[in-house]
Amino acid sequence: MYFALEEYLPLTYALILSVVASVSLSSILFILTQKIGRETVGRTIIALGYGIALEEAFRLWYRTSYFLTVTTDIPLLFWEQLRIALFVAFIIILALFYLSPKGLKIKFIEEDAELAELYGVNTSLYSFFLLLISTIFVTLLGAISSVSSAIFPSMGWGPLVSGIVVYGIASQLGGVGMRVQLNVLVVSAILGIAFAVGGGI
Amino acid sequence: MKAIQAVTTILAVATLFTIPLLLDNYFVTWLFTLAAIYSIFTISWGFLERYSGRPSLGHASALGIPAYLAAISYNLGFGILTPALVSLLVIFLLYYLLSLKLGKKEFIFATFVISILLWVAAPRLVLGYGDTMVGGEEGFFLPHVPLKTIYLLSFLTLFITAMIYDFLARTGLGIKMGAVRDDELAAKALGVKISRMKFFASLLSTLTAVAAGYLYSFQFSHVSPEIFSVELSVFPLIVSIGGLSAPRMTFLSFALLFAARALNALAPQFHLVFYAALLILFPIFGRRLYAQG
Repeated sequence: MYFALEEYLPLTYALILSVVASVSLSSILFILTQKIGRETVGRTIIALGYGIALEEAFRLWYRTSYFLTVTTDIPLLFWEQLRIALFVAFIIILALFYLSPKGLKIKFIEEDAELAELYGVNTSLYSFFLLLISTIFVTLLGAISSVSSAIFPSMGWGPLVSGIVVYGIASQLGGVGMRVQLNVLVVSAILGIAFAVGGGI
Repeated sequence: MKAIQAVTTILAVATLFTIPLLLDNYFVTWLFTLAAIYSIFTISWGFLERYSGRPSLGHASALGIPAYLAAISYNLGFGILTPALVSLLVIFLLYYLLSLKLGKKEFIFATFVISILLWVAAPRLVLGYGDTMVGGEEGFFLPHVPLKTIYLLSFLTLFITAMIYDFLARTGLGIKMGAVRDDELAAKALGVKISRMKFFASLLSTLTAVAAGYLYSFQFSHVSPEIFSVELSVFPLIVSIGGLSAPRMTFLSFALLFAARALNALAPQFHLVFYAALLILFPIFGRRLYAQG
């Protein structure tokens, strides 16, 4: 999305519009998961179907057999540093959430969403808010990464599947709150190193 | 009612078997054979879901492991029977141990992760003979088997599988297995041996999956990493939207495969949009199925 916009718009506008588009798309996913899916498995299957639908929509809309690239005068090192800064910012924001009074409610939802709802926690509001935050960060990451990546319509498929795989393994390790995020970090690092050593990311 | 369902199963498979014979067209025979293999694969998934309450989201691995082992064994100059036994043991142990140790949600994620890891690892599997390399992204070739042979074997396997699948529900063992699916704790309280029921469900699922894997690889005379793809893994899940009885699973496997072919004629890989729509709607139908159970 960012690439398509960046071709026709100044960089800042392209970035803002990408975030708006991503938030709109994730809001649709949120409504679908709330209306149709009632538990983790159902919601994961919906997200998988939604991911495939979006990827196929992009492929059919932007038909090309070429890999596209974003060119810029800013050195690549800057974009890599920006990715690290974004990662650090994301972890800090997550940690602040979990340490705040609202963090306890988020952990409660993670532990048992139905019970949390029974105790009066507005689970839908928190779920939407967290989805919003993660969408904004993922969009920014995608935009920053577009400079150093080959771009093609189905490029989101890999991260989608990797995300499910990493979270699938991390969730087996148990815990809630920052503990889960740390598990995700450790699993990502191990798998990343394993694939790098194995000869291909 | 029970007799009607048994007759329906026989008629369903017999009708689908007869069509290619009447039309006598190579493509029709090829397509019906492939659909029959997909049906066996779907019923294999059904053994796990219907008789142990552990639906797999990575059942493509059960299809791919025997196919890959057979191809590697053939390329190394060994027979193709030993890999069948090895894959039977590997997949059975995998499903049995996972279903014993993990809950429904964890089982789904674990099977998905395994199939993705195999999908990623398969292209890195390369065999070398002097200057020649085989495997990798292109996969491995297998000896050619006449289509008529695969067609007959596929329908025979489908018939046997479908009959066992439906008749099992009427036996004492099948009722106990169904009880484990519906409520494991309640079944345990009634004295049902959970591990034994999961043993049989895993064994039946593995046996049919290995048969489907062999038939699939020999129909194409080739096996590639795409056999572990998510598209294949979600296929039985989508088919199960229509119900978990053998005639329904068979007919819907055929219908879904034919629909996919028709949609691909409109645009390449267009069937994935259809699959995606069905996946999004899956929880609605899934709840209905669970309520029926």
